[in-house]
Amino acid sequence: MIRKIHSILPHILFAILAVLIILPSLESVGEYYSFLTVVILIEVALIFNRKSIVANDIGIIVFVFLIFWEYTTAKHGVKNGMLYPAPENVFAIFIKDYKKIFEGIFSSLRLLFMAFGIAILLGVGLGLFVGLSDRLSGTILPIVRVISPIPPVIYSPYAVALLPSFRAASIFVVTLTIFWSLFMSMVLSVRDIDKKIMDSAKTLNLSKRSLILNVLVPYSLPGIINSISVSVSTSFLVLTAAEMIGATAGLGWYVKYNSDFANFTKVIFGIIMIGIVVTLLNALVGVIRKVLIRWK
Amino acid sequence: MAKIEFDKISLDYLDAGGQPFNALDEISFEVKEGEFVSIIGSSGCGKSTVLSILAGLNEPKSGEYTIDGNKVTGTGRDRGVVFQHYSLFPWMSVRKNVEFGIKQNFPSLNRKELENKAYEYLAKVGLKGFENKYPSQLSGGMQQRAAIARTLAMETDILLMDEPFGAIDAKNRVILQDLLVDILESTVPKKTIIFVTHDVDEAIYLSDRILFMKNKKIERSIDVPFDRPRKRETLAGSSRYREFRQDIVNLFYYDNELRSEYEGGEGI
Repeated sequence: MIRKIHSILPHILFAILAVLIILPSLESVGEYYSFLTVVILIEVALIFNRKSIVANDIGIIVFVFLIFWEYTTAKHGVKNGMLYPAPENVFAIFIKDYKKIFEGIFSSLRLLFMAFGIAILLGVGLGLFVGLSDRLSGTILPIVRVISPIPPVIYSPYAVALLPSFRAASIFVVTLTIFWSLFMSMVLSVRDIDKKIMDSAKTLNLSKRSLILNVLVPYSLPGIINSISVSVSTSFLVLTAAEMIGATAGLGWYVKYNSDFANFTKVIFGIIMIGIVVTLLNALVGVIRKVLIRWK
Repeated sequence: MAKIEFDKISLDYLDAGGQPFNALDEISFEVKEGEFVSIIGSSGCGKSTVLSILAGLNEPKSGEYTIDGNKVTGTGRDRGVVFQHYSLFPWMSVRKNVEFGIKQNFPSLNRKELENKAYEYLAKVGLKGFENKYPSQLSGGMQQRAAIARTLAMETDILLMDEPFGAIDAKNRVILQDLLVDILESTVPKKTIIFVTHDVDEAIYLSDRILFMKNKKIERSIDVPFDRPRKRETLAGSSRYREFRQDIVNLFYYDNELRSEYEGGEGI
């Protein structure tokens, strides 16, 4: 009985929310179509995952939150609509401002992918190079242990002053965020490689090149991807923080720019978009992991 | 001339405190071309260390190691090695593992030839139909079959095996021993094999000669007095086998003198 109620509860909540949205709102509230579309999309996702208890729980929490938000703003208006906007108004921003939003997303992603490209090339390459030499890793590792815990955001004001453009500065700072963990994971995986694998590689008489390409790199790949997946969220955090300092585009800039004009409806929408983009990036890393590491 | 010769080979390890620790003490023996020699002994006697020097994974501190009269340093294309623990690369399918091994010894083969050779050897070890599985999708016994296929497919003169069936259950061990015998008997020219094990029955069943190691030294070289092809059932039933086996087992526990009639002239 309780299970049955639990399994239909999110759909009841959806119905309540939908009716609430369609009912007349206060004057200051705009068109509800975008918000309703989002709510319907959530419901569709729930129906696709209706076997999952977790999805059900999440659905309940999300709908309760949205009902609360909708009720306290659009229906029984808390007076300060500027600081606490109605969901209708927040989601309507997408229609009004989609050009700027997409520009911002692409600008942020361009920087991020550039930084990931540089960090992966340098981190894996230098990690292999240092890891393969006892003397080099003996010298470099203690130095790296001192430098790597410094939060890279700290460099941003200096990097902005030092480097020719804001772009270069933010690529530098974001690259650094990703680089250290990749580099360390690469060095350690080369140094602590399973002796069985190494003996097996030696008895096959591999050339140095083949040892690196066919043994060390694939052996380290799970570690590389783990380190990338941990870095995705932090690097995005650093990037948006950097964008708030000196950029003229990007999601971080979008949030900062609009908060300067006290347009908190747009600020909230920007924050939601950042959440969505980070989630999609993490999902992308998950797909890459599945494709590259089929053997685990 | 002997195929493989160890002349007064010694090896020291450094222990955790940096003190040298004697692992092998002036070991000498010879192995003839086409001979199957087992090295047996309790754990810690140094038998696996001998194999790792033979493979080229360890360099002796003193003494000389030669193959066909040439001094050996490091690993080489003339030797294939099978380890106790599955040494396949987990990121390659079974077939890719075998192909990768073949490619190291036959760099001129094209893709199709590599593939055919891999299929051929995987079929020999009974892995037909499993070629495209990853090692993690196979049982331990199957992984070891694949490792044996990879080493055999490299077609080296010398085969070094370090307790290859040590981690496999009794039933599969028997199957794999028979498989090894079948493959080796149909291989021309005969391979020279050094096989490390602590299983006395396995050593008797497989080898022409047994080297018994104790305290970092080779204590005995014992010729196995049974004609090939050997049949497991008739062998185990004979009183001659039981006596011979008992004599070897006694070496492990007592310092009994072995019946002199079995003493091999070679090697010591």
